[in-house]
Amino acid sequence: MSLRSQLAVTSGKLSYWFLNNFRNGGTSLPGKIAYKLDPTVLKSLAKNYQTIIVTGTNGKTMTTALIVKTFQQQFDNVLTNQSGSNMIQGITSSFLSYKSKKSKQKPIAILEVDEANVAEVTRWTNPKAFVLTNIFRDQMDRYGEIYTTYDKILEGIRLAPEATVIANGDASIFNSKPLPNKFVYYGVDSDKQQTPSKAPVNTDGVLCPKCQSILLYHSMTYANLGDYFCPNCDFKKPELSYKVTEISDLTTQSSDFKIEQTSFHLNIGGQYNIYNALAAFATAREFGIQETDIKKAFDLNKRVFGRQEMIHINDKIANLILVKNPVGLNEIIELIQREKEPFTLVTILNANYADGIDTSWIWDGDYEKFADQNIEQVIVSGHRHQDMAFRLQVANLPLDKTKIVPDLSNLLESIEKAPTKKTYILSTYTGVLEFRKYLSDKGIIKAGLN
Amino acid sequence: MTPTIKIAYLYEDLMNTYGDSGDVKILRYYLNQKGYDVVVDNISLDTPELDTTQYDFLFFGGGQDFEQTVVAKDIHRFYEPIKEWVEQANPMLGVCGGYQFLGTHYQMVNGKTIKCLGILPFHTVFRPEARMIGDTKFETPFGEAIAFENHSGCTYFDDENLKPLGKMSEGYGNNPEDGNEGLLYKNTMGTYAHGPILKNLNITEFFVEKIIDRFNQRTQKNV
Repeated sequence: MSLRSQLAVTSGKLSYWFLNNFRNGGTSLPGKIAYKLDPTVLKSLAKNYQTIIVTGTNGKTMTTALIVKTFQQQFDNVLTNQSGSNMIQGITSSFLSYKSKKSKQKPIAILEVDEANVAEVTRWTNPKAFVLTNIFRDQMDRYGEIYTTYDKILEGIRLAPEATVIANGDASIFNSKPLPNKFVYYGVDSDKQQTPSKAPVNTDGVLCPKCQSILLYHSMTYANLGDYFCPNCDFKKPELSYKVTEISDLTTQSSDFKIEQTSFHLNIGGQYNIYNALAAFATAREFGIQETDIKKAFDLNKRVFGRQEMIHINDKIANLILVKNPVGLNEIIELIQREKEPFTLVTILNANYADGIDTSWIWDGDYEKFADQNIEQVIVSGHRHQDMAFRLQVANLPLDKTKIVPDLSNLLESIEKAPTKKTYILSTYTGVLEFRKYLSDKGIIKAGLN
Repeated sequence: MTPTIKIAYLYEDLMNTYGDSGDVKILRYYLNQKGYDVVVDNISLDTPELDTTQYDFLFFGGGQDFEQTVVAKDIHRFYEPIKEWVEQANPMLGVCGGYQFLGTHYQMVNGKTIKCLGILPFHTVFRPEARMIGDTKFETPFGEAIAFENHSGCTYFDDENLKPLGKMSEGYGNNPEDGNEGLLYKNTMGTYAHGPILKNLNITEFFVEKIIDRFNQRTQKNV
């Protein structure tokens, strides 16, 4: 390690120690300090690790968490970064603060990486594998269009031609550019008997990358994911190395499915989480972890920050769900369609930089589907409550049952007074942060991110 | 029988990434309230022809660059019906890419140009250094409107008789220089306003009225 790197590491560790002891835990500040002193500090820190980079629009956090759980079954030292600290400085912080156990094994680093930071993180960590979840339209003011996002990820992958790419085989974009890397695809097995059809009209990324015809699908799971093929040329879904063969049960709280012949259970709902689990399964298998260990790990899975987090408020149960783009939102709406009991729907819409300053994406969400459900009250909160209230009005949600609570500090009281036991809270990123902070100040939940 | 208003949504499956589908949802909501059913047809690569005698409103939203280049190759077969529609003062709304297509051409950064429909005398220049992203506010003949813009295409009018939709008080609009937003020609509106623009009910009201007029004319009812 160079003297400069050594200084950067020491300063970073010192600031971590300080923050951890005198403040309530730091996230990216130690990394920021170390990175400022020496931008190559991550190279020294990550030198001994086998690194796996997890990226994509949706499912990064859950997939990373599941991979970590599976690797912990077999490896002594598994480092990861906190959700929300997925850029270079936050990742540097994670390395600075990791306390490794004595072990003969090489330590593993499983990193959730922001799409635009893949190249930078790859440059310093020499990853063994990339795990790609999906790419959907997401905060267009920040990320730009889906092809631009994939180009940013490719910039990183091209720096590591020896790394294996473990990609969602149901996403046509991951099959659109030839690379020297070994590709391993995972996906959902499909029934070829169905009559092929186009994706629903409001789906993005449906053009054939080779001949620009509109793709057809033998079957679809959600958004643009499915068994795609081009009716005009030979472009089609690749062979899958790992596949979900059956989805036997999906509730708002859990999912049961089979990967190949083995049954799995997750204590979290949503089709998209089955993809996340499958991505974790594929990664674990590529690194030689046994199926029985993977099964054990999935059973242990905790809910993570703002991802269907269950919060008890007196005798009520609130399910706090992060929504940040139309595809993720529509999957959550789909999940809540399975709710049989009456409930209260809460929305928190903010438009800070981290949420995306453009709120027009809510119009691509299928809020219309809520109109037929047993919703006894709608509570609209967040900085952009007016936009959301109008969106829900147009979706034909009952105006007379809609309550506007602009200020988040009054939201808890409104939920306590809500007419139903169950509440679903759909919130953008900074809304989740703000509301969780408020709840932890009140002692309703513990502080911290996980 | 409930009267049914028909909307032709140009390339709904390709030009759909900026939340502009909200404009159609809002129109549907207010037309439903006035007692009309609303049917939306996707007019796309596989649509043999655009028979505008069947429709009451043409909508054309914003899309991603790649999709837009594919649409640019296909759209010229709809030139006649769209041109006639616009000239006959039927209602149409084009947003972002859907607005740019009404002009003559789109000039790319490498000097190449994409031929647009050439229905109205204006053109667009892609200027990557001019990322126009953020909230906008502008004064229109219908009153003030607020929206969100996200574009690098700068639109310039080539005929002084062409009228903008509004005057900017916040944000950029057509380009960083003119201080104007969009265009209004007969009952065709072009705009960079996402948000969607029709959350501004003053503008929605204008379209609802024009759409119902067109419906009555099409179904030969006198009101």
